[in-house]
Amino acid sequence: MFNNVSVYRLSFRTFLAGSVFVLLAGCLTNSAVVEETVIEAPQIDGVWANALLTPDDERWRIEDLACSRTGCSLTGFTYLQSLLNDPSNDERSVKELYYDMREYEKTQNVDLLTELGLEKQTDYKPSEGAALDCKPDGDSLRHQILAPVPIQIEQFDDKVVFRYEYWNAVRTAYLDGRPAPEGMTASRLGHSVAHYEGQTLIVKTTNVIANVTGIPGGGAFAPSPDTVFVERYTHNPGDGRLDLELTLIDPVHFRKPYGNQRSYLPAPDWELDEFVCEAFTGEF
Amino acid sequence: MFNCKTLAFFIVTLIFAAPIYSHHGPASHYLLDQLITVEGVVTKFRLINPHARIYFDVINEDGSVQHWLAEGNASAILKRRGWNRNTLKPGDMIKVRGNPARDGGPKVDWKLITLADGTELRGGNTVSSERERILDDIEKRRQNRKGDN
Repeated sequence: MFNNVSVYRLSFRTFLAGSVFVLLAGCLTNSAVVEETVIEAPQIDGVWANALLTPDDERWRIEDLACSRTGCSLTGFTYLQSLLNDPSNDERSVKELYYDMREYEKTQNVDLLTELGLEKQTDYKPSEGAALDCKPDGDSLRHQILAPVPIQIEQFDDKVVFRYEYWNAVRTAYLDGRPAPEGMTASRLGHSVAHYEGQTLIVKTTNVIANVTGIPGGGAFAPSPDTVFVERYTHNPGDGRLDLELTLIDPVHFRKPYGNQRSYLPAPDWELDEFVCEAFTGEF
Repeated sequence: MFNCKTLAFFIVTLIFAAPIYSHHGPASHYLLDQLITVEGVVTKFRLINPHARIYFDVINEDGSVQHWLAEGNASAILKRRGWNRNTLKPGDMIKVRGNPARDGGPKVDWKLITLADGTELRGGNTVSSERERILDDIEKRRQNRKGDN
């Protein structure tokens, strides 16, 4: 039989145990929340379109549309933005501002390219086109990333997979920071690792074959085999836009990192098509 | 409108345009500073990469038939812009405006396709051909936005 005191003691013990449980559960819950906040990544899973593919989408900025066909250097893109935002240019046409930007890109090459880079730029021969014969091997990683064709991003706990309609290419960027396999032979897409910083996914790629790549203001050449490619994908949850800055770090040819810009909008109803390529055989 | 007499001729017009390079290298195969207009009948349309192809027959002044090829943008891009494999069909009469082949062969890098009913199709590969039109379209968008504000 329980007397009143023992009942009270039992109730107090129950209350105490319950309180401890609640406190612990609260702590655990808080820890989980804190941890979740730390690993929160931008939600960029899905298929993405560029401004060349969906020019009628009202969310595109004027500068996105202007740079949609061939892309712009980051310097040129930023310069064009500044021209468009300057009220004194309101009476000037987009065409004028665009060509101003292209001229500006050329002037920047003097500061951008090393002597060797400038020399190679003028050596460039436009017949070096890898795509015409349907052989992706000669195509550059820069062009693979920036080609105005749909892309798909798949996010996993340990990696981010980029699928490109262009050449049906697939790249994997590992989130564990693993080094390139020992003795890895350089390849067209190289070895990629990635991490998140707030709403930005940063991908770093090395071990890339030096294929001829375009440069701002015209011309192209093969960068150094030691070139590091850095992609920064920043998600703007407001309008859903994904802004890419692709930077080539190649001290042999560039005095400073060479940045490229392209933006994307989600295309949730799209699927990637197979990239069927058929070289021209000369038959009519 | 087209008729047999107009099909009997193909017109070559030269105008100035800035030579521009794109990755797929039309500059290496086509004269980007020249423009021609060719009229003919579609025999085959291939919506493929790296460039869509229109095969068409042109009837020369002497009545002989010459096989021509027009190259345009990649199917990966054209399909997203509303093109499909039936956009052009065998028997369609077309007027093709674009850059002539460097080697003088019967090839053209198209800038504009005009159908018999006057419908105009873009979808050209040459960067310079698309740029001017895109920039004009963007200007309209910019003016509209200014008006909205």
